[in-house]
Amino acid sequence: MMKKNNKPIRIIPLLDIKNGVLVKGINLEGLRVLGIPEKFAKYYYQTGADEIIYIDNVATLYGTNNLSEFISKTAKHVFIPLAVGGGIKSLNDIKEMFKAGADKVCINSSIIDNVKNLEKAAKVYGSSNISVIIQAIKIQGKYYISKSNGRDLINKNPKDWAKKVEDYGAGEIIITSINNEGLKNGFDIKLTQNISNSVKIPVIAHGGAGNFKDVLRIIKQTKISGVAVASLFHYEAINNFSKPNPKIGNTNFINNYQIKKSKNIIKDLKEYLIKKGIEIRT
Amino acid sequence: MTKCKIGIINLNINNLFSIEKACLEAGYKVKIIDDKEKKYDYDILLLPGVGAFSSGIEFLKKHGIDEKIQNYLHKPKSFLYGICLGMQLLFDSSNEFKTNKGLKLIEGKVINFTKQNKEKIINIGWSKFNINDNYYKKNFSKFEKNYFYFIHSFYADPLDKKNILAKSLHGKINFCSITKKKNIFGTQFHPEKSGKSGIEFLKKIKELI
Repeated sequence: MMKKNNKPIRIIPLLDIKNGVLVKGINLEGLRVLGIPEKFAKYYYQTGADEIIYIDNVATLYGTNNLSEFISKTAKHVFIPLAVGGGIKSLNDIKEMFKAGADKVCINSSIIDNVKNLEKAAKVYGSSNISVIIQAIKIQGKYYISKSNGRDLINKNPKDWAKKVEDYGAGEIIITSINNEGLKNGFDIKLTQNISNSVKIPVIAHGGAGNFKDVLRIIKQTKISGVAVASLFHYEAINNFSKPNPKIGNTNFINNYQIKKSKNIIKDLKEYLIKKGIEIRT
Repeated sequence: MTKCKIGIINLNINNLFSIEKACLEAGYKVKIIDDKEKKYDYDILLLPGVGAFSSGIEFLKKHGIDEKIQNYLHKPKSFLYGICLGMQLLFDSSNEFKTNKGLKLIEGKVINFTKQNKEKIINIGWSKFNINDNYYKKNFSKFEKNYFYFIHSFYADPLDKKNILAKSLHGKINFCSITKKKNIFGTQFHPEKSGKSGIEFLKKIKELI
């Protein structure tokens, strides 16, 4: 299938952050503490990531966003684009993110409430700096979108919503399949095809990458511009760091984790994709 | 040897955090220029830029920075480097929203990717560049195999093709991604976001021309 604009497919580690620590869940629930986000980000930069996405998991729920601190710490050492999302509601929130060192912001909940907010943000900061996250949920064969990281179901079709946000100035769409997220059983290919076929702006697939084959399949069968990967990278990268000592959250996993010999997961994935004929940045 | 000194012009519309840190990483001595500075005394004067052309040029004029840049360029060994919007601002005019006049340091216009149709097309992502044969240099051409990060929907179209140092492809359009005229230099891509090759590029910019 023809790709949009013949660019290398971007390989993008996605880091979910809660109360300042990197977490990972399943279907966006049951979060486990994995470590210090900026350490992971720096490692991913050094091993060849094309971009990094930070999402504050509980920001919308609690009405706070304390990402600024982590953005600045990260941007100091990471010289690839840094996209940041979670709880961004106003132009002022966006300004704060950029000031801290973010290159793009990712918005979801606040534009579902009022899509005009997206238009305003795109006018002031330029479409190319505003990404929209669409969190799709499939229930009994029907697709919905969701707010607050999967907590509130909205009766809108993801494809229609994708076209609408494109019209209102989104520069890029990150499509998350909540059903597949964290399960490592592969992406929702049909959903991603649907979205990437119906908009002209770049689409990033997220949710379900369990192995290299899954990544290859979603690239080959859809018109995406990038792949966002969490579990597959984090559970390998974790072997590069000494254990953190987080005071909060579900630390059971990290406290009982045995550090293994580490593989260079991003490099390995990129080499695999290149061997399969995909254009990848090295 | 004393460190090469870069002054970064603050357009007040974008974050300078990344470019400042990237210049430090590349080994420069870095200063963010404030409005009060009357004369620029730097080895490299850097004009960064994310945002709209009109707000950029308005800010430069309002604070007399356009004149200060002119004065700086008369100095021997001066070197002006524009990145992204900063590169576009070097040209005569842009049709972003409405026609705006630029700094007029290089002849040419800034245009968008699809003037013919109404589709919005943004160039986001990693691309390579091809150096114009006339500018072939060994230590420069090694960068041709590297990818650099682009994020823009407008690009500069130099009137004098001699001012095109390299081109990159977006869809079917082969646009000017590096410009050069005497001691004035510009890249449409962001070296500060282009990973290790970007930092390497920043280290070498003065050797490139």
